[in-house]
Amino acid sequence: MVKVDCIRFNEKSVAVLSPLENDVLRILWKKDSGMRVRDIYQILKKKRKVALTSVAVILDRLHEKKIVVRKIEFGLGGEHYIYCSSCSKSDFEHTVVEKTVNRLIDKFGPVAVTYFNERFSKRGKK
Amino acid sequence: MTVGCFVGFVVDIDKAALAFLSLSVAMFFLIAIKNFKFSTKTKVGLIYGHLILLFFPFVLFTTDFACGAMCMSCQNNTIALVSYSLPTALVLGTIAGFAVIPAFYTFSSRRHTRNKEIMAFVRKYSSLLNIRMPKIYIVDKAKPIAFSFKSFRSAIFVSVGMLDILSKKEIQAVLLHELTHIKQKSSVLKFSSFLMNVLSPLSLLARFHHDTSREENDADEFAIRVQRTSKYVNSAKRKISKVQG
Repeated sequence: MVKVDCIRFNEKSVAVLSPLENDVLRILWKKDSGMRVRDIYQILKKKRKVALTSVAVILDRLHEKKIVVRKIEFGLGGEHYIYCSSCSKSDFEHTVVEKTVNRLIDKFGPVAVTYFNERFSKRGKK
Repeated sequence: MTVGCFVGFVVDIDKAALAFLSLSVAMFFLIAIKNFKFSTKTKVGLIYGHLILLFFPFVLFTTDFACGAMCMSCQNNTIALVSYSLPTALVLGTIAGFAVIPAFYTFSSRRHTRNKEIMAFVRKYSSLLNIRMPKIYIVDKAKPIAFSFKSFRSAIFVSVGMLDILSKKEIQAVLLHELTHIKQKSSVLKFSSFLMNVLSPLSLLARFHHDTSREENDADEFAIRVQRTSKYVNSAKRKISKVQG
């Protein structure tokens, strides 16, 4: 199960991941076969100033959160990790929404349920 | 019953003197390591001597207790008691250091490298350093770590994370660094010092701390000498410290 510990609400957006985590994950979502740290770094460095070590740290952090999976492969230059996203973009977003709503209900109980009812009924009328 | 046995043990002059002598020599070994410059081999020998002598009084006491419980004659015969206790203390001190821990690491990361270039590189410089070629193990960790063991068969452990972030020349610098550690037998010394700090209350008393900076510098210097530049050693160190935070 993907671990989502912290959800940050800004004025403009809702963030579950750091900007660099987000960028790395976007790259992985586009590729099904998995990628090496260096491959992700090569794509990312065209968009933003980033170090190879930072990409490695971010991938390890995403692995700890179970958002990506990895396996050791042997290839050019020896053994290396191949990283893949553990779920699709829509599955990931579904998990985030599910966890957020569940936490709101756990914390606020009937108030949260009533709010969701009102909100959905308003939406239904529209 | 145990308290009675302990009192009996302490009151017996021969046994108490043996225990005291053993602890005194252990303390002397510790002070000698701290204050005098010895070769790695001598240092390791003194550390294990210290640990064995530290274990000895406890083994002597438990053997004395067992002899008494089983009504054996060794309880009243100090020479027989020592001849039973000494090998046990010896085995306890040495097995832990030389066999168990290196075997544990080797067993837990059973993956050998398949990289022929790395193996050829290590083979070349092992023969240059006049050491037996170590086995190279790959550790399934994203953190960049590399360490070596000099045990019955020496080994170098490199994490996948290390191979992911370092260039070929930087990996070679790391391997040269570790090969020097194997040549210096510094892993044995490092581990023995750690064991002593953990097991010996006397080491706390003497504020014993083994300084590894000289060995690290020697290992770096060898890598720099072979590569004829400090560029790769420094960049590897920079990358590793950056990831380790």
